Amino acid sequence: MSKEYLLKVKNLSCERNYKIIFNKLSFNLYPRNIVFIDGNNGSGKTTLLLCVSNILTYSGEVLIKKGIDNFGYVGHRNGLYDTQTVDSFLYFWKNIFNYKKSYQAIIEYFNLNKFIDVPVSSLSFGQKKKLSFARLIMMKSKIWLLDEPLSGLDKKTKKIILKLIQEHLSLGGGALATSHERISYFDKNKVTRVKID
Amino acid sequence: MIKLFFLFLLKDFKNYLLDSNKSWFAISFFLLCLLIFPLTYGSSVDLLKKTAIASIWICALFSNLISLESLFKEDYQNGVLLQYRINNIPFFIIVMTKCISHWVFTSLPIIFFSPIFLIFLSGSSNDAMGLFFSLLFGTPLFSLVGMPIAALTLGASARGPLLIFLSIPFFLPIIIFGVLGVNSFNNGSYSEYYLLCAILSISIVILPYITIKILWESLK
Amino acid sequence: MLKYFHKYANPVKFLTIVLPVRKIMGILSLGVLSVGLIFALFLSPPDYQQKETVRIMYIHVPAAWMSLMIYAFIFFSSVVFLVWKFPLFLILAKESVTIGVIFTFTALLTGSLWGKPTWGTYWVWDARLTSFLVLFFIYLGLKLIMESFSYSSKGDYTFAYLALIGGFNLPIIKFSVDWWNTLHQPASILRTGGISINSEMLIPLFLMAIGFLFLFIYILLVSVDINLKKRKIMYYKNKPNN
Repeated sequence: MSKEYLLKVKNLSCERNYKIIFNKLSFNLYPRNIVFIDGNNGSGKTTLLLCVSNILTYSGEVLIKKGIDNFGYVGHRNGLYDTQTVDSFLYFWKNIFNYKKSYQAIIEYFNLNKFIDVPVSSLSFGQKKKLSFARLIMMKSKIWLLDEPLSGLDKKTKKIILKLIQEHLSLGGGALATSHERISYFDKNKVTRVKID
Repeated sequence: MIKLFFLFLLKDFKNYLLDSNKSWFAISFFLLCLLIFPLTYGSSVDLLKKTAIASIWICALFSNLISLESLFKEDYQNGVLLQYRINNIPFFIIVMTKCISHWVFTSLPIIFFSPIFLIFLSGSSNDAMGLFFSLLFGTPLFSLVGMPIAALTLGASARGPLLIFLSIPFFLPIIIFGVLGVNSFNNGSYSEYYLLCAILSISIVILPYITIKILWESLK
Repeated sequence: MLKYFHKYANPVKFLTIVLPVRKIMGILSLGVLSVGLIFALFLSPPDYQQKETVRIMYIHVPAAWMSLMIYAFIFFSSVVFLVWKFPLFLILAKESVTIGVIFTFTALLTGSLWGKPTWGTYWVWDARLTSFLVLFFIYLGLKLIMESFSYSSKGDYTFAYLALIGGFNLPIIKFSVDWWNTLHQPASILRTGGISINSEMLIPLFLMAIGFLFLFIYILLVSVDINLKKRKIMYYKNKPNN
């Protein structure tokens, strides 16, 4: 295991709405590793992800490996415009991220061939989630922040997404996930578990 | 940067065009408001003639107020704004394209057809030129000044009424200079236009930055 | 300097230091206001033109001064909060709003009551009155935005930013209304020049103004105290393991 971390969190505390969400949290994220954040509902898992991505103000330290300036984020809200079609959505984000390759492969991967001209508003929940992950692929970010990536999906979709995460890890990326589903899918040596109480 | 700007502008235009509620709402609301003035004045054409310019400005104000609500609402609610923030996309582009598309779809039709509305309200055709220019300089300010206020109220309970209540005091100078500008245009004095342009140029510099700060806060 | 400041910008420390000041302010405001009122209502001479109605001035003018001053106070505390993030200044600014609303309303009400005997009408669309009405609405806007975020800390920054924009806009609004008024002077019997003030009227006027200022400080400190205690209760309620 290389000593070079992607993300190092030291004594992270966060206060939101006049209450302390979590106190003095520390963990490291190494390349090819995944960190699972455990905790009950309302314990501040989403807050932690937002702190790491420097949106919320926090006390403590969050060190990010030099050269990484953006995060891939998949949250509860998918971040899709209802009026965009799947095609225009992919085209839009492809241009934002300067993704050189064609996104045809992504469409194939997610089985979205039939829905290419369908507006996002008429897609199902799982398909929207897939689009959210499609954006993640085009982003080419080393660190992925996944907020409950698997909740509410069927078995097949779960498998696709787990495979995707695995692939991302094998390419030297790291992920921060707030789910406790399917931990066994990943190599035990590469999983870190962090508990928030 | 410029490529990104046009990408976002195109996206916003498309968003307005595809959502027929959004693109037609402002202008149809404007027409509906305009209908009220002749009806309330009874048969007094004289009164209508005198207040034609003021009526058009008031309707422009109302349609701007109504359409302000949708300015950042969708982006905020569906989480796109959060995505932009996490991915370090320059917010200046987002804010400016929002502002431009809002102006194009709420105020530009009003400006363009203002001479027709003036005839509609039996105003004198001498004022048409003055009205056109006063709307041209005044309405971008509606969008610009409304922008930080629309950002402020994101996530508030009862957002719509709150937004209208907050923005009217800030719109007062614009409507005052706008209406007065038409009157003095015929006398050959353009001082109100200069004032509007001055406020406009200051606002373009300052307000987008304040809006960006507020939007960042709203994501917390 | 900033470090020293930071020490006293801690809300709880601030309260303990300020408690004696608060008591003094309470007593002083009571004293000054009662003396001022005696002067204003009985000892000062009636105006030679307006007769006894001029006594409304002793409430009206200080209230108007106070409402402007309180807005300036809110503006500067919001700026301090936005720049240095001292929570104390936000609380000070937030608690001033209600007092500002009351003072502005008093000024408007007494103004219109005063207007009836002197101008013959309760309301004139005069530049000063109009801009004061706008100030009142901006105050109400601040109050409303405070209420609509009452369950989250998001409202803190929202409030401060609104106070900031409002502060920049008020001069523009004042200017525009002045402009509008000079072009469309309403046909009123508004006397230009106002009342000639002699020293016998000036003394109670200033006494009332100082009394109002003390009253403002007193009410502000009391409400800051209440606010902090409320926060404390909320904090203990929300503490993870109690």
